[in-house]
Amino acid sequence: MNYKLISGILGAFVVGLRNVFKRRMTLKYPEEHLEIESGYTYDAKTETGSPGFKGRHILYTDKCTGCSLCAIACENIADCIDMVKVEGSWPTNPKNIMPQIDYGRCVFCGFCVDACPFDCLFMTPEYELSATDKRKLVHTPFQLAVFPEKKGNVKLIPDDRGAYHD
Amino acid sequence: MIETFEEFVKRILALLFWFILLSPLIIFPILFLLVPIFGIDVTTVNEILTASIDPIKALKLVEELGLGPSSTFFKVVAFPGFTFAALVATITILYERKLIAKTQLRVGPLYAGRFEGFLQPIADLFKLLGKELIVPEKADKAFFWAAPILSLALGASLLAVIPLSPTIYIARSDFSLLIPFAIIGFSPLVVLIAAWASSNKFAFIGGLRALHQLAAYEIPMLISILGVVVLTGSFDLMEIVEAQKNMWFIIPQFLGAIIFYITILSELERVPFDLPEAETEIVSGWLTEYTGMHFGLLQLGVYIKFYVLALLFTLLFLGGWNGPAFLPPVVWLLTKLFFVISLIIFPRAVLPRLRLDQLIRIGWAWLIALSFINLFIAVIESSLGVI
Repeated sequence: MNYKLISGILGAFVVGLRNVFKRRMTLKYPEEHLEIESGYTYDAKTETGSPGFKGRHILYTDKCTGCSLCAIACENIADCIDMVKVEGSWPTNPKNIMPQIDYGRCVFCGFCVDACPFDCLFMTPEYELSATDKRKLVHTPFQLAVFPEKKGNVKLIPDDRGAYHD
Repeated sequence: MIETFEEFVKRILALLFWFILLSPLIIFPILFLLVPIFGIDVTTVNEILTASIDPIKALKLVEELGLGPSSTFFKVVAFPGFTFAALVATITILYERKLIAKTQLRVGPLYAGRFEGFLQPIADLFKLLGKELIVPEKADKAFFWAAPILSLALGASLLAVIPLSPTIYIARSDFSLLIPFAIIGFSPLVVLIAAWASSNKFAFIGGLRALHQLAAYEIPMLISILGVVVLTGSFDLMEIVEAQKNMWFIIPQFLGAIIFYITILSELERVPFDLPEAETEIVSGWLTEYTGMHFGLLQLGVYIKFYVLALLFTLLFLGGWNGPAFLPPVVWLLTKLFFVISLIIFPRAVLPRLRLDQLIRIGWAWLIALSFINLFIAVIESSLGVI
């Protein structure tokens, strides 16, 4: 029993000492953002999704037809998509309705992206969505149409013993 | 606009610079106004003023006052004495935080200072100075205030007889090995005063645990160093270090060194023997009610004790300042001290805490028996003439 105890203590020392010289994987968050390649997209023709970050949505207003399939897909999950009237004339969109997303409710499952048959609703790597007001979490179609600016300044480098960044 | 800690330090240094630069403009006229009133000699005033800008003259003036680098006052207050020990203690706190963070795959303090958060101790000091001193309503006020001061005084008085090299020491005594241990015996009393005065159940449990711990480690600690005394035939640290010129005592006294190391961990209330301040069980143990600079002084006292015990380990078992002659002896001592401090810090990162009954069993059943065996080994070695 005592042999086991002593060998255990020595083993803990060795593991700790090995850790001292290992590379750290700590991101200094507000100053450093990890570079994320792409958001989640779904190809309606081949019915395959591509791997990507499930962040804020991007809406291609020139392709949206106002079919409200995304709102129907969301209905029993988060119920956060509302179809709202938009100003202006849209050749593909006779009813002038487009999705408006409430990020206070969204769970970022991506089913709305799967449901869209016209490739006009995708997701982006944008994840800083916090607001000081609950109403600001509701993003209108025109807010969704803006592509987020790239903030990533640190690249993730995969290694055979894990990943690190520079 | 001050946003980072670095800018804060820069601002304070700038204010200090302008104060020093501009203050003569006010002080000069006042001094020369005072000269005719009090009949002070003009030349002495001139000397003092020139010394304030000429460092060589200032040094001469300080030496004339009996406060030079060779004076006892300087020794006690600055170099081998309190300021140096406090500096080492502060660096130890930072080093401990960094080392434990590295061991646990974290980064530790990072933002204060440009390189790896090296200004963190200063930031902590400012934080502690800025905090309110809260004394609990039902506390025993006099003892509550006395405990931090006693802790620091106890730590500082340990420094009196411990030499750093053949030439750097404050006082020399034939019993310089016994005196630190006689003073260290009081440290559980300080803990008990702090615990009782807080009138807090967590603090009181911590204090009682400290007393239990004392019974478990104090005896093996004293007997384990007796081996060294048997081998050298002296209680003088100078002679003990001189006797290690050819061989460090860690080789003939390996068992004693290990027992002394374990009892150091216990004396300093460090993991795995940190029962008196077990954070996960009794909030912060006997430190629970202390805030602000009270807490700072208690911590400083504990870390000065840390420095002294690491120094004693170096002197007793690692050959003190002995080493190849291309470096001065103090540098050798400090290098070994750094290694010992790392060794004492390291268990905190990897080991869990013992229960009280386990601690007492280890103390009474193992350490005391092993320390007597070690003493026996020392007697055999000295009769065979190993050293």
